Amino acid sequence: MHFDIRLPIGTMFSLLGLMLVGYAIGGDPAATHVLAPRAIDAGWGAVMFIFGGLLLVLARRHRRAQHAR
Amino acid sequence: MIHLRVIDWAVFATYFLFVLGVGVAVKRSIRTSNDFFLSGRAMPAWIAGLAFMSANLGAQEVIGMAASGAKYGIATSHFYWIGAIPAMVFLAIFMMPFYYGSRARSVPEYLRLRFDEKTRGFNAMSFALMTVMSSGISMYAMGLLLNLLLGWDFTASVWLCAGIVLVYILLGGLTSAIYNEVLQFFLIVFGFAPLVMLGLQDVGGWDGLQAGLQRVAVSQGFAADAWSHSWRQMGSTGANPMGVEWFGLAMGLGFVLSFGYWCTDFLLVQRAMAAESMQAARRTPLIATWPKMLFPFLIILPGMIAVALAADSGHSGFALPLKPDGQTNYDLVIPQMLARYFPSGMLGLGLTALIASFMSGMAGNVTAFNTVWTNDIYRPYVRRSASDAHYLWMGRVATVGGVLLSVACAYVASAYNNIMDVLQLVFAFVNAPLFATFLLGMFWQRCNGHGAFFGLLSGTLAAAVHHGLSLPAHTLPGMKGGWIAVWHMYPSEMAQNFWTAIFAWSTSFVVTVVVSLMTPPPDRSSLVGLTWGATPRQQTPAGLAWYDRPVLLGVLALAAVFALNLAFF
Repeated sequence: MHFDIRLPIGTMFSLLGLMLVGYAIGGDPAATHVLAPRAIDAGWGAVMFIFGGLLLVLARRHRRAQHAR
Repeated sequence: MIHLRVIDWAVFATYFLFVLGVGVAVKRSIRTSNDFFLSGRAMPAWIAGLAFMSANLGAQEVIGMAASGAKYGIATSHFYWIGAIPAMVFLAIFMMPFYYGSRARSVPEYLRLRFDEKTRGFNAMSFALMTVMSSGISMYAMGLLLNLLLGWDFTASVWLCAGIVLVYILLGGLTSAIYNEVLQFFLIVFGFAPLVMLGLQDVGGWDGLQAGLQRVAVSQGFAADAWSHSWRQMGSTGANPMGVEWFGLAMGLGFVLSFGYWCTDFLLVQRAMAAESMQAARRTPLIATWPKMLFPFLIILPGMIAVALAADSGHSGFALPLKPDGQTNYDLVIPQMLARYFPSGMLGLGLTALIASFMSGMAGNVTAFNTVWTNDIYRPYVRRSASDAHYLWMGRVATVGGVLLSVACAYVASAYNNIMDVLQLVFAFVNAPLFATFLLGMFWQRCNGHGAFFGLLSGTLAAAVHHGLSLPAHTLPGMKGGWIAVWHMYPSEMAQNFWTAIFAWSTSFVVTVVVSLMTPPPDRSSLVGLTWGATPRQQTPAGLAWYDRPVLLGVLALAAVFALNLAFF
């Protein structure tokens, strides 16, 4: 494997998750949607952040295991 | 038109930056043509498996399957459950040992090893043409959609996306394309999953969806379960909105078209060939079966929800999008659902997922094109013996050429509204007979190069003749068929496509057998590693965990897809 793809994917999802949560908390209130309140941004942003973080943890554990070997 | 805010643009920019970043990170590991075209055969199975799945997730897939979900209901899942999974399992268990074990760099090269140069040349040329057309039409659909939704200039969006795909493939070749396909896969899942959840909540849950679909079916003169059950109304062509019956569906889609596409299309097989070992190559399509069998819930369901909501428009306030001529524009169902449910931020994510699907499909086509062009057209016909560095350089030139040709095809598609029909025809004409060639080539040692070549030619010709003599209902002779004479009318275009494939495959099969028997047999010693009978069986190493065993994984996938068919019967 050339490099661990979980690193860029994990970083991107963590970043996108943070952006969505940040926007839901501090974004323009006028942008609120009729059918989907901005809580959707916050909730789904948190899910993406956790997913990204999980990938980063897995990549880190894999690298440690490789160093140990 | 959808109004985007800063957060949506920021999501776009982040995605583009990471996609290009992956290309830059991979660049230093590309030293040989093997690295560029086959990723150095170093991909773990899970990465190759997700890329295998993602390379198939082009524009036509995401937009088209949601549109079909609205038009035909859950029966659209046939394109996944019988139209993909059995073929993917067959590829993994029976065909991958020959593709990977032969050390061929491409599907056309396998044909040269198994048969002869003329069979390879025929397949390489038709495949190169198909990939460029397919990529161009995907690009055209993307440019049109972004123009319609966001008001983006068609030319600017086409060149922007083409430019980004070009840069990351030039930098990292197949490795870069595969890594980005994995990234795009997760983005598509995270971009569309909330759409399904919000849509289901809006329509009144699963029960509300069923009730809505019953209203749709009855209003169009079908039985109440025609939209919500996949097999129950397949007894006759008039009983379901697809206009197909179970035999045409099972033989045409479930056997010929499905096996022809999933088992012989180099765009997909290339991902498995890049795997790090034979075991990993065999597990690649098997890993892909699981997301593939679940994708109807992500892509088809939004279309079904949309049509159910529209059936109760007085209450939901939702109407299906219309074309300028007043007909329903099913292709805009997904974008319309994104605009309905997603607030700013999530909207950027959903649209990025849509763009990611276009880009992963295009990258798949371009990487397959540059490999087939360099290894199967340039090397044997233009410059036979050159250094590896020269072929690596040619691979990069072919990448630029492939992208430019795709852009040109996008403009041709924008000038002619029937180019999509032409592409569908080309697929049916090329892939269906090819599967007969592979089936006989891999499992019948007596089959020879003359049989394969004339089988392919006659199968393609049979497809053309069948198309020229048949016509779908409510269409005029021309691009849709009947251009020789109208001997038979089909209730739908889909039924005509399925039967065209059946005729093409049967003709190719019979002609290959007859010509092979009339001409000298191939040298048996040259077939080792290329055919079932002449190759020692692959022994699964002892002590492998269950999830590393291809046969067990294949059985599990088939059992799961059988259960899904039963659940939605």
